[in-house]
Amino acid sequence: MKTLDLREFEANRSDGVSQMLAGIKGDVDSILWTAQMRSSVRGGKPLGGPRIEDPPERDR
Amino acid sequence: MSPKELLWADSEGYQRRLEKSGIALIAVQRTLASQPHQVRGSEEFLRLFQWVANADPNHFTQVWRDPSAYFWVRRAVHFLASLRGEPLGTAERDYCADIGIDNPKDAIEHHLREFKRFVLGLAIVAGADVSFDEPYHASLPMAIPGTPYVLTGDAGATISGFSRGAIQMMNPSRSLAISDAGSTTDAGAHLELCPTMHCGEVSVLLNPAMFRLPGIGIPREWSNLPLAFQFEHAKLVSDALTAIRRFQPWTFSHLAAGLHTIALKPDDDTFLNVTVSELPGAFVCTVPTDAYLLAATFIHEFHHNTLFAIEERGPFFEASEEDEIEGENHYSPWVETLRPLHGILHAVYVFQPVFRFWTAAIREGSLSEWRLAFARDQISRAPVQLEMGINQLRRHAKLTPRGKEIVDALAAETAELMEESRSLGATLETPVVGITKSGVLRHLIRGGHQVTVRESLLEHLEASDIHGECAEEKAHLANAASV
Repeated sequence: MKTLDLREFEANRSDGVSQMLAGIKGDVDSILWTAQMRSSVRGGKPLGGPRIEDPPERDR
Repeated sequence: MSPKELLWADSEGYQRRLEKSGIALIAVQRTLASQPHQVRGSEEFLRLFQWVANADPNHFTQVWRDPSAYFWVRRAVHFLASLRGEPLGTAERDYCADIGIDNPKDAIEHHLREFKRFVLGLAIVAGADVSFDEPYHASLPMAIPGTPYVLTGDAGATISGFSRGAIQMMNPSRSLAISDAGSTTDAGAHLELCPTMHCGEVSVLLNPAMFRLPGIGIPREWSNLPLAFQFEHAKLVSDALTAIRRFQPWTFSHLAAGLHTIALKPDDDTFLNVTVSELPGAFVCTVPTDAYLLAATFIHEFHHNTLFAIEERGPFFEASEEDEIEGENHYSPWVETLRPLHGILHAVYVFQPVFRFWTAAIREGSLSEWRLAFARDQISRAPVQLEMGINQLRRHAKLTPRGKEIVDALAAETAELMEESRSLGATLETPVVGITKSGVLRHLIRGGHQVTVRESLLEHLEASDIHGECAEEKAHLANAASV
């Protein structure tokens, strides 16, 4: 992971900052964020297969 | 870069996302500096921002690559935009609901106060003193960003700053020395250390408290469990990472570049495993389980992260009448409920490297009997599910040119996986193997008969494809059964 230097960004990333500022002041959807979502789903199963029940205690 | 390289080889996406969050922090500072009196707390935020910007960049990077930093800065951008009339996103609405606030002005004021947890993390990492004009009221347990420390206790904590190696607390006044972390069992506020797992170049925290953030949209009761639960299952995590390193070194190199925090939770009725778009490099997994299944789960969940990073280069879906992100409208061969197209795209992507993991493990030839049986279930099932997923996207999605390139690349990969599956002798008559809640691999037996992969896929279609979207695939599977 490369170092993140805010001072260097302030000096050399003015295009990115301006684009972000424009998003804040105008159209926030113009900023390329990933869609807000969660991977979890109701009824999700282990690795796409069915859930297997443990046998009753007496059968273990 | 070709779509295939973008999907599987590019490990720079994690860095790009981190850099974007740094740029966003500067934009937040400039927005507030242009109107410091509009938002209460701006002056202190601007002072703390300067303190952060003047810190050693290595220390700042350690703190700002914490998944919660992206969460914080993206909310800040959206709340500031909403002060100018932009609508709130789902995560911001959920955030407001969680903290009982109903307007963006109160939300951004609350949110600016939360910046202090990053300042505290940086003070600890840098060993530098800092004080807050207005004390920070922390809800416990609180993960301190960029560190393995968790501030925990029965009630909240009021923090006035950090000095002489200790967090300075108020009401009552006391100091919590970092050097004492993990040695106090006091029920009052105290510091604990979460496990840090190291495997080769991968280093990951096991820290459920990091997920205690408003509006992330998952139940969080499990995150209050004592850290002992993480330590209890740490060996399982270590074994899973070792398995990835052995069978899928290219994913392992991605983990080294982008993985930060995992939380383990017990099995319950809420969810099994989860990755949240707002927390780069983090996911939650349910245990107990088998170490190789956990490895496959890590690969699965981490690739959600990868696809989120890829999506920040440009959207996959055109705007249409359908809500591709949240509209649960379509059959997915992996879950019982209908799913949004975006979710189906994610599933098609993340199950491909999982398939590759299992084929590599089979080819290596040392899997135990039950792991081999589970692997054969997976490589028999996955190609059929992937093809259905691709078909669903092609039938229903309005894709951007980038999205079409991605889906075409995934379709080509699926064709390769089918061939790979056949070459390993996988068939639809393979018996289903699953894992129980207690973490044991077993066949699915019904009426004294071992259910086959074909039967389970057909049963799933019968139960969950309520609109008959995959009727053609269902007929194909049923006809193949009668041959």
